[in-house]
Amino acid sequence: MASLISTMATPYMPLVIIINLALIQILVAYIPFSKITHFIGKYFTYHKVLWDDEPNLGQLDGEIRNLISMRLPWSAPHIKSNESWESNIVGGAK
Amino acid sequence: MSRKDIVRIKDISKPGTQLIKLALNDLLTLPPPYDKPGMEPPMTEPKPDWVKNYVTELDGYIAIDIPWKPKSKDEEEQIIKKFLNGLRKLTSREGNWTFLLPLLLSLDYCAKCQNCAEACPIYVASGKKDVYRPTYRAEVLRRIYNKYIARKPGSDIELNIYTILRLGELAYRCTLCRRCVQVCPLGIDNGLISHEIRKLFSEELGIAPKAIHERGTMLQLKTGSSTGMTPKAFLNIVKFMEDLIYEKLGKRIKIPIDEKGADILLIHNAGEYLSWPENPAAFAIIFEEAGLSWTLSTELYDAVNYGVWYDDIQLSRIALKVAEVARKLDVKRVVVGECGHATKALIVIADRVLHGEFRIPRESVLPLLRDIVFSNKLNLDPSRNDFPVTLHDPCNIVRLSGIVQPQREILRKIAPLFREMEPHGVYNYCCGGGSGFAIMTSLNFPEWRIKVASRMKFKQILDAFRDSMDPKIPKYICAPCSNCKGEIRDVLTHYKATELYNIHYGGLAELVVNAMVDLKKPYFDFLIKEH
Repeated sequence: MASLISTMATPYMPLVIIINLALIQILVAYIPFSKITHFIGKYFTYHKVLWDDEPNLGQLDGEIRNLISMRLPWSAPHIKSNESWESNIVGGAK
Repeated sequence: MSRKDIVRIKDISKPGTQLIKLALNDLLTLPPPYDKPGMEPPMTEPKPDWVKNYVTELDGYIAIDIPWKPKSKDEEEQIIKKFLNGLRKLTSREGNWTFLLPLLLSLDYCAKCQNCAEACPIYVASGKKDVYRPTYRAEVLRRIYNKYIARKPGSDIELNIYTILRLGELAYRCTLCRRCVQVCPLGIDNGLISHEIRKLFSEELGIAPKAIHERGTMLQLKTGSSTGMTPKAFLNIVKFMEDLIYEKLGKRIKIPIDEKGADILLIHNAGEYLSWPENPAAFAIIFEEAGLSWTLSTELYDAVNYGVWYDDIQLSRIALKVAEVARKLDVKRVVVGECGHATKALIVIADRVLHGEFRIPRESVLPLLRDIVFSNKLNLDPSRNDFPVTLHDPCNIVRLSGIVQPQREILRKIAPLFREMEPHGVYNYCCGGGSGFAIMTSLNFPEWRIKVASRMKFKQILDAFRDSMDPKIPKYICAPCSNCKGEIRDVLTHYKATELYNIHYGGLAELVVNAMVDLKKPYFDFLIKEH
């Protein structure tokens, strides 16, 4: 047990190493406030967001039904503005 | 590049004339024999009177061929107001649930590393003009969004009429090939941003090139085809195809039409029937020889869905029409012929719209064709294709639908002199006709798309055939996509490559049929001329 207790002084570190360690600590502290954190999310969602190509074998039907029941806000002449997506799609062009 | 050639993001708002001018000397040098002066037609100036109605303020070329330039201050303000309304809708769930998440993530942040620029065939072929960087138009939209919608400080851009006019045109200087996306370390989809800008202009301002909207999706929804072809005309072409098959094969085939309960409803781009009937005829021969249960339809003889390039509502309307006809005919699956954008639109994108009873199985014809070729149901002799063949990878089929190997497996089996372009597969270059460019033929736009957008593809073609440029050797570019074929046709014509160097183009099915032992004479006319 006694050997675990040491009274030795902090080992000597060259100034360059101390500066390096300080810079690394600043960088680590800065990361949560930077865009770099996006990498964590993107690592897991990259392909899902970018390609979104999971085949719909029926599992997405309910979600699609909800989405196409939403109001279509666009107002170009070929669109039935403020009617639902569904009525725009099923009804064809204006 | 000198400092005066640099175009900054905020320059898009600069009042005045053309932001850049293209010169032949600036463009990417083509390989021999097209590296010599005089081998390429010169570039032209826009006609002075175009400036009144059309936007020449970007680079002098006009993609949006409807007269949409404001005539008064009031009209200018109206356009700016509508544009901002559109941007609000584009970044809302209600207006854009279809692509909202990738759009917002792409608008969020860009490190401006310019990996995407080096991957973009248009930017590189143009001689690296700043405005064609994939990041340029994306950054313009990002700054407008940050300044006027998200109200974030520090966005250096002014939204005036010049910004909108140039941004509208700039959305049509990208073929949506999405090669840039693959190299972005942050997963930013600059191709999608071009697509979303097009959507904003179409869905809010009603502005889109005539070829894809008025004479494209609108005509298709009204008459059944963007070509304006009627069911009667379609039936006449089917009859013509049956005669063509008899002439080539020496036996009559009855092409099935509106057969209820067939396994397969085969749909082709209607451009095939009009410009390259030998392609759907080749499929008829192959399907009949393979003994498949299949049919064509008089209600659905045009697979195209131009909505995929510029307008989600038009896309959805056309996709639903396909599903309705398939249900009515009670077929087991819809198979899309050699058409890239139709494949992606129906197989990948429409999967987020079609649901319930309309969720009919849909697939590309290429894996099916591979299965037929490898089933040995066709009696094939590869030595009949004893000429150099290269493969063009349509972006929508390969990079954007993931169908990479079937076409190569077929070519390795039936074309002994097959060679790849470099790069190929999912790293291919667009033909230059993607996203509607191939059918946009008005004013001076064809000059830009052939000389700039298709330049990298033409370079690849010349490189692939560099060992056999002798005009005595016929060469074949296999392009299993109607729009790509249309673009390659225009490129070969522009550079007189068929006339001077015996370079031809066509689909994959024709090459399979040309290898059939039963054929009395070559399926390709250029081989008949050779003999």
